Amino acid sequence: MKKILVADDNAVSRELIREVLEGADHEVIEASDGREALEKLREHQPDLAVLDIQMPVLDGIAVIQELRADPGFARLPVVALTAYAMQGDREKALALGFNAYITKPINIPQFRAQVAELLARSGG
Amino acid sequence: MSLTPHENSDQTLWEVVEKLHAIVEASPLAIVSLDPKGQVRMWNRSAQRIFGWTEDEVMGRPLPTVPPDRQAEFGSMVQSQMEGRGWLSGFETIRIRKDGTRIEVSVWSAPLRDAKGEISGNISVIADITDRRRAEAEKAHLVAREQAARAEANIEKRYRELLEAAPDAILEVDSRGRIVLVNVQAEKIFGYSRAELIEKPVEFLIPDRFLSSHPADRQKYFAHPVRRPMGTGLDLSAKRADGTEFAVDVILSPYDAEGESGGRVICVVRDISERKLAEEQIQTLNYHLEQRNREVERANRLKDEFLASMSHELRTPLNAIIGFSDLLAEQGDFTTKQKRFIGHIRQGAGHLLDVINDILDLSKIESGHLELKHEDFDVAEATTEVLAAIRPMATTKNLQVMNSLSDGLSLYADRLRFKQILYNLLSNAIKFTPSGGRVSIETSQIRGDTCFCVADTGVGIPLEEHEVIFDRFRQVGITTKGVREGTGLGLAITKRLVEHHGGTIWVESEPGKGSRFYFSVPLQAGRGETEGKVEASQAPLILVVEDEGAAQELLVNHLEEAGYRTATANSGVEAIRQARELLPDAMTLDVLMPAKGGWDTLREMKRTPATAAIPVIIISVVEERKKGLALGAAEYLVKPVSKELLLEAIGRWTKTPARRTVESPE
Repeated sequence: MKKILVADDNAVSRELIREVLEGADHEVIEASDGREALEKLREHQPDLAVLDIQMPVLDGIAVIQELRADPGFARLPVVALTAYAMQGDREKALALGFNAYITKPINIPQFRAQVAELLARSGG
Repeated sequence: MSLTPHENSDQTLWEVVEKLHAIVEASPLAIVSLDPKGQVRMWNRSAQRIFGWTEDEVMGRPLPTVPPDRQAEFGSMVQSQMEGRGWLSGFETIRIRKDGTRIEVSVWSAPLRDAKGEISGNISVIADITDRRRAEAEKAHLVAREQAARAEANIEKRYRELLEAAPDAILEVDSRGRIVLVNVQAEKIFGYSRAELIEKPVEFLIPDRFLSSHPADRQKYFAHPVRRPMGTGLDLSAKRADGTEFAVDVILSPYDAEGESGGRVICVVRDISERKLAEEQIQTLNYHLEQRNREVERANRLKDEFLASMSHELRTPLNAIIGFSDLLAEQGDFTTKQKRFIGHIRQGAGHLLDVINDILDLSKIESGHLELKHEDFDVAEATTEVLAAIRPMATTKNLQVMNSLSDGLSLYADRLRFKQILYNLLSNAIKFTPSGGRVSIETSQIRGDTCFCVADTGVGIPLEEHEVIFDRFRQVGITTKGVREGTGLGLAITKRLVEHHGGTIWVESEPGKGSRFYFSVPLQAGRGETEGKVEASQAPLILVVEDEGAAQELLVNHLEEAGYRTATANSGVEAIRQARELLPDAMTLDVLMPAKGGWDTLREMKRTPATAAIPVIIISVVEERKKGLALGAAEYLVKPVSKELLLEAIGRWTKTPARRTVESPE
């Protein structure tokens, strides 16, 4: 069982991801904006984070930049989640330090596989 | 010359001789005779006058008048005459006088014979032509001088003409600022006659508002006169006779006139009022154009922003609908009815997602960002995939779907886009055909183009709507469900996709009689039937490295269906051994594997000369494209990989194999 932080301002989206991840026997910590995500990350030290890009207070971009600048979180696997599907966004997100990029609506089997792979790689 | 009368001569003979003697002596031309030895025998008075020697000085002596440089010429002349030949007639040569001066002469000369016919010497008549020559030379000189003078006059006339014909006004101003010379163009642009301008101060032509400063400027210029070219950025104006102002460009060029201190200035003045006007018009036009461009840019940006936020706003709720219906469907404890309801929700949401993607797609096509990926593919196979996707719709409405495509038909086009075209036309046909009707696909060849037809027995389209149905957001009539379905973008996208392939799309239809939508796909120029295809035995060999059985099987299936030969490996160690032994044309590589992971395998492949050149296509669950490409991977695909993406990636690195004929399951 792994600890996973899910940050999304949309409660239904959070519930969907929680459902998928708990279905894979993981513990889910929720945050509804970027600042709360950073606080919960420091408090709970999860094994993986799923960040919505568009969030109030601090968006996912600001959060990943802060995380990658912090030695404690530099190697944390982080999945970007976005409802924007314009060209070039994926490349931008990966360049910023996200480990994976998923567009809404989520393809659940693919999301499961990516989370599993990222957790396996970060030290099984 | 002296004649000694013969002892026995009679009186008459003596008289004749005397008469002859008088004639010879009176001759204005020199008459000289030489004996056979070349010594002077006759020397008349004119000879003495011309050459200066007296008869006594030359008689019985060789001729003294031949200059050294003419001795050879003279010798041969005398010799030939002594042999009875050698007439000279007006032969021009040089002789010398007693005082040493050289004169030009003209010589008539002939052999002289005695009574018995023997050669007794020669006789020459010599004219001094020095004066004539001098006169000729003088005349030539005079003619030349006259011609030179005429030419000089011509040049001056030409300069004058040049000055007057110059397209710019030219004025000469003296050191006191007075106009001393003007040309025709100056009269024309200022509106004064020459007489009105000469001797006037140059300020006469300057607008009043500059008058106070101009004399000072002029004096400053004369203090430091330099050549000032046109277009130096000064905004200059001049004043016409009628007081109106006009824009000018001015060149000033100082020069020193002879015998005048302080120098003069040549002013070349060009009327640029028309150019100024045109410049102003261009500026205004540019300004408007810029404004319009800015508006277009703004509108485009707004459109992009709108599309992005629309996509976002719709995807968020769709995420919940699709996600939760998928989760529900995974939980098995539902009644058949409930399962069907969940299916409807999932299908409706899927359709909505298609609509969103349609709009983004059309926007991409219209902004010119669409790139077609051409390949050879089997039409029957692609059509079967489309039919499988639309069959549920047809079944729900109890429609019969007929596929009359001939087997073995192959196209060179973008396979995905071809399927999209077919899907759009078929789903339209189903939407507009009442229950129990029929939808069919047919194909034909027209002048080398492959022509497809999607026909239905639906509501039909009135003639006046045949064009506009291909416009965006144009829907004609209502579907059989009694409501408008979709976004009205399907045909607009379809038309643009067909046209991107170089084909055309049109419809034949009448209300109540169904519709027939046609589209053509041209044969690609320069593509032969056999190009790019290889025999099955030589088909490229792909090594599939994947430890998970199901995934491995799927990859192998995709590749073999496309005509590739395959080999498999279940671990990194095995992969390296196989790669060395088989030397495959390409290799797919999973990253997460037991006994040497994908990254280590890739590193070792690239380090080993025998396998370094084999293209490696990484297939991973994790997006680490940069790392993969940095380690030498040819392609990087993220799982789950569609068949299209896989074949496309493999196709970029290998030859296209001959595709297997796929039986139509229709």
